[in-house]
This record gives sequence, structure tokens and C-alpha cells, in this order.
Amino acid sequence: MIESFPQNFELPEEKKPEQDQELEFENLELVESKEEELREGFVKELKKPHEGSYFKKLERIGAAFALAGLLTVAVPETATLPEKSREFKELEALDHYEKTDPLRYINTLNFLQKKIEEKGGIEISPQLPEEVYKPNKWQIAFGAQMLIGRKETPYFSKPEIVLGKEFIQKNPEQAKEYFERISKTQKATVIVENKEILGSGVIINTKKGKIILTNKHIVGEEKTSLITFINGNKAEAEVLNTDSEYDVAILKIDFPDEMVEKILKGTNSLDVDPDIPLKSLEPQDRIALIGHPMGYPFEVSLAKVVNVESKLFQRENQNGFLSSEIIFEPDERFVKLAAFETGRKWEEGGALARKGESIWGMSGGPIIKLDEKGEPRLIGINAKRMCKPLSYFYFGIGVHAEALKDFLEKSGYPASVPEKEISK
Amino acid sequence: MENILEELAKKLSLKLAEKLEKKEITINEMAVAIDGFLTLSAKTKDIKKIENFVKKYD
Repeated sequence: MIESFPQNFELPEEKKPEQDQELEFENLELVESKEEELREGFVKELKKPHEGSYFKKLERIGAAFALAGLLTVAVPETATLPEKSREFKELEALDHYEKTDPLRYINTLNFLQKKIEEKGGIEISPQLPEEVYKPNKWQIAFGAQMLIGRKETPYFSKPEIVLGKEFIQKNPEQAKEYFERISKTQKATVIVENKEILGSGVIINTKKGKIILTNKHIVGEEKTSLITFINGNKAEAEVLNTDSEYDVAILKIDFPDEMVEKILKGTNSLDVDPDIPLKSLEPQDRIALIGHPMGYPFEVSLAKVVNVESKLFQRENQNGFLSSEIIFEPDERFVKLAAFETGRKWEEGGALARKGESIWGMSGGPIIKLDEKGEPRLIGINAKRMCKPLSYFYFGIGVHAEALKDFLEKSGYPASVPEKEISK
Repeated sequence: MENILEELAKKLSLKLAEKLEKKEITINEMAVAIDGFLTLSAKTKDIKKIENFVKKYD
């Protein structure tokens, strides 16, 4: 169901959004005369059944809305999908080739790679020339099937998806401002890549300069990782320390902080902020997860904190219960944005994924809560995605800033004092 | 079950048409109602729940 934007994220009104927004907000408002015309059309449609059935009529209208991106009605069978390009069909068949015809699989990978080099991506449909799918090597092998398994066009971080068109229509200023604030955090988010895994990380300030926080399971046993910054710059980073208990790792970029600042375009890197203690997080508190799902540039997804003190989800490890975890559930609106089959078995890490969740690739990315001034505060990093027993409902676990702070101190890189005003 | 769903779909459809015509609801609200009805129909076999949902638009 389309919901209004959660109250917790209401932002102060005095600050006006800037003009240099990089996000697209056009075409979100219906022209009044068009709306009148549409209204008349719908009245007429609703009054007559389709093939003798009103249920079928509602399905058809629902599908039309879903295609228009207004809703997410799960009736794709009734929807008319755009014609697919040859390369997109090949991309869809990759999983099948992998299992049945290894040679064709390799040839198809090469064919797709060539198309990516020629066009910068894979054309989805001749009718949708603007929609170019840009998978990287990881996605070709795995993630692509996830996204297209339900014949969906990949999209990430579009305001209308994150906040909902209805909210943006009603509160355009607030929506812009929300994204402006969240973008500060996006700029400090990086892709962390290793030989066999890809995840996210966040640039933070310490008393010894800027370092990158990510998950231990992303860096593994490697001594270095490849970092990709928001502007596309890549750099090697040395793994300074890791902690398996909390699944955290820190990395040092091999160039000066000034260069990092330049990359961040004047936005400060983030401070680990234990000023929002774990215990102060209330169930239902809204938080934002940021990262690079499957290596896509950015995803911002909203989530709500679930009962922090509950033992239900706490895991036992060698050291007993972990005590500094942020446990969250994806925002219901994202859950509603449909699950898609990964085409893989549970034991292979497949099954279902839902848009807007902390899906793979977001590990190590920042978890943000807007403070009372509406400023983004780093309260943790994404760590795990788990499924409630006997259900298909996922929830996520993040490492809270209190644990990150302890780990930084133990590693000899104590966190710097948080700046309360993040300058531009 | 199918007959009951069809009846409920008819009831909702005509109600929405009426409310839309009188401008008592917006197109978005109509879309939300249809979305809710279809989702509920797909997910639950509890006809009471679907009936209650449709009643909201009486």
C-alpha cells in the first residue's frame, strides 16, 4: 500500500533545497486537465466488466498502474511487457546455459561483454532505448537473473521508488531535501571489491585520518581490496585490521586525505557516531540503509528498527550473544515492491530477494538515522541479511556504532569527535 | 470462493466508479484500493478480511 512518509523523517522547514540536485523529479505531477480526462476514463472502465468479470477488470487496471510504475500489483501475467532485445534474452538465459551448456555460457558472457563495451550496457528493449542495463562481471554471473527473474527493469535510488511518487507529489520540497541530506552519506559510500566478493564500505574520520569501514566477510583474508569511489575513481586499499566477532574491517586508502575530500566533493566523510546509542533506538524507528546492491551505484532503502532488546533474533557465537546489533526490517513499501526469485536454491544463497532490502552488495554500507536537525548520523554498518525461521520474511542486522568505536580504538585508529554540523 | 470474489470485485469496482465520479476520491486513492483488493485476494483465503476491506469503500 502506498504510505505517507514516516513522521520520524520530517525535516525542518527553514532549509530550502538547493538547485543543483542531481536527482530526477520531473514528470511526477499529473497535469490537471489530464487528470480530469483520466478520471472520466477510469469511471467508464470501472463500470463495465472485462470478459464478463469485474475481477478481471480490476486486474487489468491494476496491471496498467503497475506498468506505469504507480503501484506494484503482482499481476504481471496480465501486463503487456515491452519486446526484449536479443542481448537481454541472452542475459535471461545465462543461468540456463551455465547449467546445461558451458561453452554457450562462456560465449554468451563474451557476447554480452562486447555489447556492454559497445553500448555501455545491455539494451533491454528496442522500445525502451533509454533503458540500458549495466551489469558488471558479478552481476552477469549471478545478479542479473535476480533482477530480471520477474521481468523487471533494474532501478536503484530513484526518489520515486525510495519515497514513493505519492509522497513526492504531496511533499516535493521535503523529498528533495531528504535526498540532499542522504546524498551526503552516499558520497562517503564506496564499493569494496575483492577477488570473489563485492560489497560496500563507508569513509569515516578517525584521529589518524580517513579510513574505510566495511565488513570482515567482504575483505576475507585478503591484504588489500579495490575501492571504487562515488566519482568512479578506483584505488587500492590496505586491510588494516579485521574482527570476525562483529564482522568489521578497516582499510586504509593509499593516497592523502585531501584527495579523498576532493572525491567527496566537499562533503565531509562521516564520523562514527555513538551519540545515538543502541539502547536509544526504539522499535519502529526509521533508518536508511545505503550501499551498492550487486555493485549498482547506490541504493537507499528505508527500514525500521525492530525490538532491539529482543532475544528472538540474537545469535550466539563463540563469545556469547552479540550485544551491539541493530536489527531492522525493510520498510513495508519496499517489501510490497515484490520479491524476485534468484533462481538459486537456499543453500546456494539464492531463493528470494526483495527490493529495498539490504541485499547482497550492501554489506558494509552505512546505516543512517537523521538526527533532530535532519542531519545524517552514521549509527552503524550493514552486516547480514537473515530470514525469520519458517518464513520468507527477511530482516537485516547491522553493527552498531558503539561496537565500531570499540573496534577502532582496539585497532589504533580511534574515532574522531563527531562534528555536529556537516559542512558542504 | 471465485463467485464471492467476483461479487466483491463488482461491488468495489462500482463503488470506486461512483466515488471517482463524485470526486470523493483521487485516482491515486482508487489505485491504492485496487492494489489492496488484488493483493489481499491473492494472499488470503479469509473472505471476511476481503469483505471488510471492500466495506471500507461503502
